[in-house]
Amino acid sequence: MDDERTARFEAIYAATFSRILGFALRRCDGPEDAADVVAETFAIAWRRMDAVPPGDQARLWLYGVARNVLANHRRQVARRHDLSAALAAEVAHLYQPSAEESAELGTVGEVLRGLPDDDREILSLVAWEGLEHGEIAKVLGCSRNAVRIRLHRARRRLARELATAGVQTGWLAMSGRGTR
Amino acid sequence: MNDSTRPERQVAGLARVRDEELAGLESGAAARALLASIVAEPDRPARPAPIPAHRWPARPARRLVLAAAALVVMTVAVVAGPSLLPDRMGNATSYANSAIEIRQEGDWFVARIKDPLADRSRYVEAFRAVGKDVEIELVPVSPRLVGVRIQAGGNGSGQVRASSELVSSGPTPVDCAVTPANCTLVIRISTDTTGTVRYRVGRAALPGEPTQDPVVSSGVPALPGGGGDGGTGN
Repeated sequence: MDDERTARFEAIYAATFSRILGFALRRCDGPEDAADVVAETFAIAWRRMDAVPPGDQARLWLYGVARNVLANHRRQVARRHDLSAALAAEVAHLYQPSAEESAELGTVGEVLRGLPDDDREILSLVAWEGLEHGEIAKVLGCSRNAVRIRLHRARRRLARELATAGVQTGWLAMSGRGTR
Repeated sequence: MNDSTRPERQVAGLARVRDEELAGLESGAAARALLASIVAEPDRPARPAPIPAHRWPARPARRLVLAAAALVVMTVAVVAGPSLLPDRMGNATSYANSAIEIRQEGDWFVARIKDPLADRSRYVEAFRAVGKDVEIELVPVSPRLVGVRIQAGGNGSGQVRASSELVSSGPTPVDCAVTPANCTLVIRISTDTTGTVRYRVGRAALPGEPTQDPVVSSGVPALPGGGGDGGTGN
C-alpha cells in the first residue's frame, strides 16, 4: 500500500516537477522563494495523495495548491516587508532586469503589475501555463463560465492599459470596445 | 478575436523561464533529494488536513527548506542573468560540465575541452552560462591537424576577441604538435566579446573513423590562428 502510494507520488512528481517549478519561478521574486513553493506544494501533495486526481488532472490540482502556497507566502512577505524594505532597496539591483530588458518589457511588466491581482492571475495562467478555460476553472476552483467572464474582463483591462501605455495589441478594436 | 491579437500575448514575453527549459530537472540531484525528503515524511498527517487552501501550514518543514535550498542552486542557474531576454544568456563567471570547463581568468574566459567527443550542445550550454554565444565543432582529422582551427566565423556583429590552441594537459610541457594526445584544446574568449564565435577545430580521429581534413584549394592549409576573427593569435 505504502509502496503503491510512493510509486504514484514519484510518477506525479516526475511528470509535473518542471511545470510546478516553472509556475513558481515565473511568479516569485527569487529562486529561493520559488524553491520553497515547489517544496511545499509537493509536500502537501504527498500528505494528501488521496485527494490528488488521476492523470493530467494532477497537474491542475498541483497548480491550485501552488497558487495557495504562493498566496500564503506573499502574505508572509507582506508582513515582513516593512522591516525588510530598507534592506531590499539596498540589494534590489541584484535582482533586476538590465536596462535593455526594461526598455523592451518594462512597460508590459508595469502594466501587468498595475492590474488587479485576479486579472494578473488569470492572464498569467493563460499566457505562461497555456491553460484552457476548463483547466483554469479547476485550478481556481470556480465554474468554467466564471473563468470565461473573468478572462474577458481581464483581457479588456490589460488591452486598455497597454493601449494607454502605448503598446498596441489590436484586441480592443476587434472586441468592439473603444478606448477610454 | 484570434490568438495573435489577444493582449496576454504581451504578457507571455515576461515569463522569466519556460517550462521547456526546465524539462529534465526532475531527475537532477536536487529534485531527487527533495523527493526523497518528502516521501520520508509520515504517510498521514497527525490530523486530517482541512480542505481550504489557506489553512495549509505557512512555513515549510525545516527538512523541506534544506531540500529546497538545493533546488535553489539548481534553479538559480536557469534564471540567473538577464533572464527576460529571449536568448537567456547567463552571467556566471565559471561553468563546468562533463564536456567542458570554463573559468574566468582576468579579462578572459578560458575554456578547456574535457571531452572532445561530447555532443557540441554541451559546449554551447557552457558558453551560454557565461554569457557568450560560442559554438565549437570538433571534427576528426589527420594527426597533423589536431587542435588546428579549420574554420572560424560568426555572424559578423559585435566585438570578438577569441583564440584556440592546444596546451599540455599535464604539468610537464609537451610539444602538442608532436603529441596532441597529451594536450587539451583551450578556447579563450575575452569577457568583452559581444559577437558570436563559430569554430571548427580538428580533433584526433577514432580508430577507423573517416577524417574530415579541410580541402586545401588555395594551396595554403588552414593553420592555427588563421581564422579572420580578430583573434589574439596563438
